[in-house]
Amino acid sequence: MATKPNEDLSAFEERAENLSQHELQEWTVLSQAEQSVVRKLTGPGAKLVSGPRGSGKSTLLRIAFFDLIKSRNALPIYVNYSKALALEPLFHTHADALMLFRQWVLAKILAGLRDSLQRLTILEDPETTAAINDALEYIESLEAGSASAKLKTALSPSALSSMLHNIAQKCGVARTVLLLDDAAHAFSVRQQREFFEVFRELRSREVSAKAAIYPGVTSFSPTFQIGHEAEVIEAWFRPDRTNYLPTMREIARKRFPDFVSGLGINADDYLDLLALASFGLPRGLVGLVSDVDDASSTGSSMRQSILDAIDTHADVVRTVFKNISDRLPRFKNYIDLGQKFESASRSAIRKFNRAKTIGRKTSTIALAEPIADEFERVLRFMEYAGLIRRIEDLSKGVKGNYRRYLLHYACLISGNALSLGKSYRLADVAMALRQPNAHALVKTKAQTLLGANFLAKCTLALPPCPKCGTERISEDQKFCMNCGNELRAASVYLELLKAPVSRLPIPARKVQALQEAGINIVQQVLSDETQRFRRPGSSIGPVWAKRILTVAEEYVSV
Amino acid sequence: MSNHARLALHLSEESVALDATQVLKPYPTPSKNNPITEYFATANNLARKITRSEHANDSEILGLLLLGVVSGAEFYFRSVLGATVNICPLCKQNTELLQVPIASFDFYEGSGYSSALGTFEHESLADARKIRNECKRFTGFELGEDSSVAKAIQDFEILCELRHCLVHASGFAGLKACRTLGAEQRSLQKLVIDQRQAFELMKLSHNAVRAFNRFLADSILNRWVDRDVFTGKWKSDKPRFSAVVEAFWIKGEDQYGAIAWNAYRPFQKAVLARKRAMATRVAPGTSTTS
Repeated sequence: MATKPNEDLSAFEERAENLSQHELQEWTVLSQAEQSVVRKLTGPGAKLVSGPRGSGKSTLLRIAFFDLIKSRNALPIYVNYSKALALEPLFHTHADALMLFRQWVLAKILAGLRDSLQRLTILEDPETTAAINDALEYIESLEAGSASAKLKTALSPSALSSMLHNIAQKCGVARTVLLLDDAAHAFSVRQQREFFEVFRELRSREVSAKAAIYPGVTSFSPTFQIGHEAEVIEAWFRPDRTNYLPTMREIARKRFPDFVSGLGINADDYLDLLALASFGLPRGLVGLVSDVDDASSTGSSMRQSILDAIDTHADVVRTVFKNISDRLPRFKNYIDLGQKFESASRSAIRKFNRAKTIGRKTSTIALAEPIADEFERVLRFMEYAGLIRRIEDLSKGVKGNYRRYLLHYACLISGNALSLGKSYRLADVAMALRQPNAHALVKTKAQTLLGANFLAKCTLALPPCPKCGTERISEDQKFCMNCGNELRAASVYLELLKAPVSRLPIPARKVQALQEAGINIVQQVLSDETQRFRRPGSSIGPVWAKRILTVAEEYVSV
Repeated sequence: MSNHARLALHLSEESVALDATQVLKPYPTPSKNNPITEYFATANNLARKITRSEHANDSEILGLLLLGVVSGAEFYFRSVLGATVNICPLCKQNTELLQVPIASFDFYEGSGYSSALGTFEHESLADARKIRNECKRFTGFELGEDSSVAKAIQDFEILCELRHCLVHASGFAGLKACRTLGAEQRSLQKLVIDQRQAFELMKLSHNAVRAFNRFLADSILNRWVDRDVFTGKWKSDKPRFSAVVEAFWIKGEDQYGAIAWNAYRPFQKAVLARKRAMATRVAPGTSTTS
């Protein structure tokens, strides 16, 4: 296919926060469930929107933001905290890092206020202008790794809350809605706990905070009670639901009209397959469409282009999961076990599907309860990466209870786990996945898939004392318990910057193109303002250049 | 016969013939290490001895570890503040009116420590406010309220409070300690420290020493830049600059390979930039670049 899907590069933008209001409204299709989520986000009360990477949390927060700007029912402030990890090195060099982080969290809200006031065409008073300018300077300094800047007036949740209340009144509304994106700070527990402490303190009758978090990996402050402090709402399309495919088709048609029209009479079949392979993650669908477009423009058949794109996407999803151990090195053993679990589950599903007709195929693993806490953590990491999805539990009475998980469809397709034979039709894949049979599932136990002693592998991978070699007892141990030597922890953020580009979840040929251009580590991608890897003859065009930058930014953020 | 009754409720005291001076030994050699290196040598030595002893998990022994560490930190604060008088002419100026027992000069001569230590006789620096005040008195520098060093010194106060309980109350936490430590319970409590907690607390002391040391070194050097003490030429700046880095670094932990010149290079740029800016201000329109 030689059609160009859309001249506008933004169509392939994978992060909702980088899309304009117009683009977001033009390209977004909300299911009924999502419309209900948006209603909750625009209404009163504290909410936590939970979903894995790319599930559409930012889209929902942005839509809620623009809805409130339009309706003027409340003063909305959208804040993105994705750069939180850039502050992590301060925890290794400053005794007051927690206070700096707290100030940064509050200063970001002030910075977001300016955007809201501009959109509402409300003039800032001089006091607000001074406070916002001060906050912007402070944020810039901290995100650049310097703690030398100081806020002229230290911010506190109560003072900020009262300031927002006054501004909201000037805007003619009673409420302020804080839409706090990328707020999980999943890779720094201290940041995460402090954030939720601020979140709790900001909560009032006049200020309702909504934050996007990840399933499984978010830990809250000791005083933060889920359910009491905030309601958790899920933001993740269920790929096994009947309205899933029509919604995703509509998204694709709105966002990539040229691409879809170029698919010809089989457009729906192709789109269904891509939608299923994205496993309910709209960002995945954008990536898949981009890859198919990329491959088909080189002359490959549409079938091959789609299957190649699904293979690539499966690799990307697995890499995202594997990369957790770069951010949380102490959990490397857990991630290794998760990789084995994914592979073993896929094999078990393949074996189950071998003798089944298309209508009886499965994509579900049912794990017998109880599940050990250590393995539970492995499963939570997999949910965070979108590699598995927990669905309703299954009770078999006296035979016990089972916890059901869907495996990422791209991994199933790529690994031929549907057992469709060698020359199957693409429509068969969609058929096997779109109509899941509730009774078709692989009932098993974790030890059956991973071996009897699998729990012994769930240990923290902590570096031993460099002086005497004694193993550490806990992750936050500060001194060796054998020789008394002081133990220092490296900055995760600085380690991520030094990581080779091969760790990025991008196809191998793109990694090679980067290396050929002399870009070997992640930091080089981020600091390469001239994008020298986009040179003639390279496989990296403008769309991929943007994607690589986004992927690199995500790699060093939450 | 005396009418004074004497009850024998327990064993009676007895005459002890002890020459207290016997416990004092001449200090082997003048200290070759700077204050921070000496502090870490003391603290690490203590930590090593305790972790390797059979009492590694004994709360009382761990309490003694904390006492030793706080003592080391307190001595660090004394000696580093004393050292600033010898290193920095501006600090010296600041302490001109400070009262020191005359005998201190002879007492500390050749010891490797500043005679200004005499001013701390019978003074305790195991107190955050006292550290702030002495810093101001010796150097003129204020620790500020919202800085890393201020937080580190504030956290050190926790350790000082525990030390107070251990030294003065046999490990019992009185009302003031409960308030300072933020305990909700208002009743007598006992300090029972486990090994992990002891090390966490020791980290507070390390943090205070590191933050204070960094703060002093940076403040002294930057004040020199502001007051044009430096010329921007290594040959003339070397004695002063080297004196500072040698008084404040820990060889091996520094990022300059323990070579003062390597540390001077980035600093020199700041000095020269200031000189250029000043020259432009003094002679507007005159180019200072070749």
